[in-house]
Amino acid sequence: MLKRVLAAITAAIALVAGSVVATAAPATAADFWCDPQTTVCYMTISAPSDPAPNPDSNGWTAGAPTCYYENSQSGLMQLGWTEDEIRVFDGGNYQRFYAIIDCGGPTSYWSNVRQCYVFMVDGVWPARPAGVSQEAGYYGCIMFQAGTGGSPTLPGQSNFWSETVPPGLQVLTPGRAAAMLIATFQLRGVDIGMAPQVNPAWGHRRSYVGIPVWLWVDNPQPLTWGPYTETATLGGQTITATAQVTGIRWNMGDGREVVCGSPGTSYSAGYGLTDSPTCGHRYDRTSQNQPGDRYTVTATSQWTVTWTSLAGANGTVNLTTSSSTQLEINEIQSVNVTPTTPNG
Amino acid sequence: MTTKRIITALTAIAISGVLLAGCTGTAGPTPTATTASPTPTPSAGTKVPPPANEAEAIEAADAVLTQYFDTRGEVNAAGGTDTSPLEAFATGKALEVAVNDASHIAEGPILNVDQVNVEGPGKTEGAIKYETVAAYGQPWEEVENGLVTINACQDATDYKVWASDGSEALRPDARTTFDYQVVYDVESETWLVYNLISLGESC
Repeated sequence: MLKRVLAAITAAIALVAGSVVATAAPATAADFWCDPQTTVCYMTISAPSDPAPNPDSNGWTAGAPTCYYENSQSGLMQLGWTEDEIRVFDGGNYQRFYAIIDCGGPTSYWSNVRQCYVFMVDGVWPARPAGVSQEAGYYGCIMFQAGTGGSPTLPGQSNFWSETVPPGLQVLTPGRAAAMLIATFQLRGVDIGMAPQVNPAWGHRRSYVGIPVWLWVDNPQPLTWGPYTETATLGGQTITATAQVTGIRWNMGDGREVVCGSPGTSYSAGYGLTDSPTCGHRYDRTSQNQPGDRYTVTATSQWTVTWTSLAGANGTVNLTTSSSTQLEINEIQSVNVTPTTPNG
Repeated sequence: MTTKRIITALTAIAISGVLLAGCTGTAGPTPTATTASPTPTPSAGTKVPPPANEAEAIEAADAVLTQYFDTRGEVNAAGGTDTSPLEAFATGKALEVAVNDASHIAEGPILNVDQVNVEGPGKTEGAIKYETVAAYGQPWEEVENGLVTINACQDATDYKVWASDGSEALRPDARTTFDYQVVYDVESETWLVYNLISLGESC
C-alpha cells in the first residue's frame, strides 16, 4: 500500500513538473494528485464534473510532449477554446482547467510548470549567481497570452538559470557544449625526456642508485603540453577552449612521486654529474625486485582546460594524460662502472 | 518589450488568479501595502524604495518570502477563513495558491493517508520552510533587480496537516526544489511573492 502511495505521489509530482511523459490513461476513483505548491493532495474525480470527458481529461497531462495552458474555464473559453477542448483536474472541492496548446519547437518549447515558452537566452548572459554551476544554462520564459484568433503574443519575459535543459528544448548549455568540444581534443601524454637516455646497445634506460635522474618534457607540442585552442559552435553555443598542462606528476616506480610545474630541463653532457635544477630524482634502491628488473616511470600531465562562450559563460575542466617508460636501476659495483653523467 | 506589455502580462496573470480564486469563492489578488516604516528596511510588508543593488533586492525578497510562508502557516493554523493577511505579501499565482490552500483547510475535505476524503475543515501546525540554493535579480517593470528568483529546496517537514477526524493528511514529498519569484511592486512600494514554480525534483 505504502509503495503504491509513494509511486502515485512520485508520478503525480513528475507529471506536474513535466519531467516525464505520462500515459494518457483515464483516472480512476483511487487516483489522487498532490500539489507541491500547497503540499495538499486531492482525490481525483472523474466525469460528470468534467465538462468534456476524454482519455486524458482527469489529472494533469505531462509536460512534453503534451502542453497545456492553465486558466479558468471562462478564461479559456474567452480565449477561444470550446468546452470540448478544455480539460479539467477535479479534486472534488478544487478544480483546475487547462487547454492543450502548441508545444513549440526544439529551440522554444512550452513549459507546463512555468506556463510559458522557454528558450535559451541569446547574447551575453549575466554573471552566474553563487550556487549555480558552470553547467547551467540561462533561459528566457515568455508568457502565453492568446490574442484574437488564438495566436500567441509576447506579453512578458522573465529569465531563469537551470542546471538542466528544460524539457522539449534541444539545445546545449555552454558547459555541456564545452564538455563536448573538449572531448574531441586529442591530448596525449608527454614525450618523456630522461637522463639516462635509452642506450642503443641495451635497448633501454639504465642508471644507478644515487645517480641523478633528470626528467623533462621532450619536444613539447600543443597536444602534449599546450596551449592547445579550439573554437567550435555546438548546439547553438560558440565555445573557445584552451588546454594547458599545469604540471607533471612523475611516478618513479619506487613508491615516490616528483611533481614538477615546468617542462623540466633537458640534460646535456655539460651539466656533468649534477641534479636537475628543475625536475629530477635519485633512486636509493635497485630495480631488481621489479617485474623485468625495471621501474616503470609514469608521467601524468595535469591539464587545465579553460573555456569561454560567446554568451559570456566560462569555466574550467581538469584532465590528465599519461605516458611511461622503463628504467633499470643497478647498484654501483666498482669504479669501472661508475657513470660520469646521468646519461650513464 | 514595452512596460505596458509587461504590465498587461501581470494584469492577465492577476486576472487569471482572480478567476481561479473564484473557483473557491475567494477574493482576487489585490496587493495591499501596510503602513510605511519610518526607517525603510527590507522587511516584509513595509514600503521600501526600489532596490539599490542585487544584494539588497535578494535580501528584501528573502525576507518577504519567509514572511509569506510564515503567514500562510498562521492563516491555515487559524482555520484558513481569513486570508487577508496574505495580501500584504503575495500577488498573482503565489497569492492564488495561498488562498486556495487556506480555503481547502477551511472547508475540507482533507484526503488522509488512507486515501479517504474526510469531510470538514482541516487543522494545521507549523509552516513551510526553504533553503536557498541560488538567488539572483533581473529587471522588472523598469526596476533594476525588480524580480528576484530564489532557487531553493522547499521543506514542508515541519508543516503538519490533519483531517477533521484527527487522521494525518496525505502529503507529497516534503522536500522538493522550487524557483520562487518575488517582485518589487512599484505602486505599493513593497516586495511581493509572485510565483512558486515547482521543479519536481527531490532535494
